[in-house]
Amino acid sequence: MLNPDLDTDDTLSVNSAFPPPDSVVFELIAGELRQSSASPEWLDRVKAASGNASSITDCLPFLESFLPDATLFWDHEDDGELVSDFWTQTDASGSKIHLLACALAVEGKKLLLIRSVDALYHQSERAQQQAHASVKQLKLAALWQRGLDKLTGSPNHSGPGSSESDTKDALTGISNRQRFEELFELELRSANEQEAPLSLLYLDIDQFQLINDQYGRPAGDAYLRSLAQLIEGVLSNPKDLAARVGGEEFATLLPGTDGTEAVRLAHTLSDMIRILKVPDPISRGLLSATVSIGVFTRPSRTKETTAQMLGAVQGAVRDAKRSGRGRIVIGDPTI
Amino acid sequence: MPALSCRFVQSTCRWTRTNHLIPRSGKAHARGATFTSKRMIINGDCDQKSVIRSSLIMLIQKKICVIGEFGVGKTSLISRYVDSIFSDKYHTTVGVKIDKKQCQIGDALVNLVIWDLAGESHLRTLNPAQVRGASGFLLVADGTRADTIDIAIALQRKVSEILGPVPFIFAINKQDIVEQWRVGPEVADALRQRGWDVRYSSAKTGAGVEQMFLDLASRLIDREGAPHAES
Repeated sequence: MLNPDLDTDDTLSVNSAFPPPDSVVFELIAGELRQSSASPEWLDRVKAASGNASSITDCLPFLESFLPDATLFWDHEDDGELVSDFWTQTDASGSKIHLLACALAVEGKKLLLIRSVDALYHQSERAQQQAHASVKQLKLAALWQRGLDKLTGSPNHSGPGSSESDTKDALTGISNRQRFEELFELELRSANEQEAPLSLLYLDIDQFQLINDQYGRPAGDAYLRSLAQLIEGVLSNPKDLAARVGGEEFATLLPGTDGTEAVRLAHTLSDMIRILKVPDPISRGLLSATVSIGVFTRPSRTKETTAQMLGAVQGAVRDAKRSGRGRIVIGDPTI
Repeated sequence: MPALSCRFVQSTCRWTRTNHLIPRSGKAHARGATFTSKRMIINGDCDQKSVIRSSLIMLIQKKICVIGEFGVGKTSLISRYVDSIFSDKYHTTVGVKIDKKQCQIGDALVNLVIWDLAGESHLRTLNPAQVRGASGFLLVADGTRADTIDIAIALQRKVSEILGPVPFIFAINKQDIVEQWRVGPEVADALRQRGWDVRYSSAKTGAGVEQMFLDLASRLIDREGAPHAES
């Protein structure tokens, strides 16, 4: 790229010996940024892609986010530099141009230098990719560790990198939704490997809002705590899991449990919850409710996913509510 | 020496009659509509042959941001929409990637300036300066990673604090591998009840992608009646 103002006959051969500049410099004069160096080749391409836009921010929109900071910097600093984030634009051919801007204050001059930084960008890209891969591996390791602890009955169920508050529901003390989802995924993989059935119950308290409305939220919370203890107490297999997965929704995950046993357990839970009476110390009344339960069993050697299983039991709960509440309905993953 | 002046244009929109541009001036009023986008750029010699069908075409430029956890497919969605391409290879975005795409919404020709912000991670958090000026945003999560939904919800709050109640669409991406999803339909249902426009998308197959951007663009130029979710 030749600079018509700088390239005289005498200097032409010297300039030709150097690679074309990869940066462009603007100087802030009377509130306007004026280009004070030759245009690098990438700037021509960017301008062409912008329809030869008339202003620098039309051509380089990223500067809209950087110039306010740069202006503050120029207003308060006489010497130094402020470097922007990386940004990437494409030219008309679709080629990517990676850029960095730098606001400079030098001997009373306020300069903006914009540079094409392909090599530096790719170096940062590789570092960021490695960091992201590490984050994913750490998350996966924590997930597997928690699953392993659960399967081996280790008292440290929560595993490394995760506190108990991350896995326990604060109100009821049983597992929370996050832990349920993590273990659900693990149990599904385990069921696939062992060709074992996996059952899921989804319980939704009928008209729970009435308890809150009639007795107040503390009473409703007390009922939820008692119900959670009941559900957890009914589960006998060490691998079974009870979790609170919504406001008044609970789920139980039953690895190795077939359909007949899952339905039997659902009936047991329904009957016990029906006779559960939780005293309310304020009104001295007894809180009671029924639950609608959706049941689904994934037989061994089938392909249902966690999402399909959840969809099946939640659909079944809706059917149970529609048909009068307090019912047990078998879910259908195809609906 | 060429000189580029840095002007922060406050005018809102402009009209062109066939290939003639009306001189720049404050707000434009036409057919009872007032457009209040922050800035409007005119491309006098742009190749808009295909859109200059009617006698009056409105040109509008809008900035939108694409936001979400790293690896959810933000850049792939943009590549699918802008260039109709998809690559299985993972390319992380460092900083910001800016693309432009022109689309026609009714009588308006919309230049979408799409800011693809590097994914939220422990290494990087949202930079408000890069979000400011956006007229709307696309929020992206990965259906195979449940935690990306939580991060998207948190990001929606952050962005809404910066931009106010602007239109946005929430895309749960990677629909092509729905069998690996860890996000059930109840998540989308719950968010829809909060007023969110939740879509399923696949940058790989293109499912839902173009419509999502067009719908967002449409809401940007017609803010009245557009659903603005509560945070």
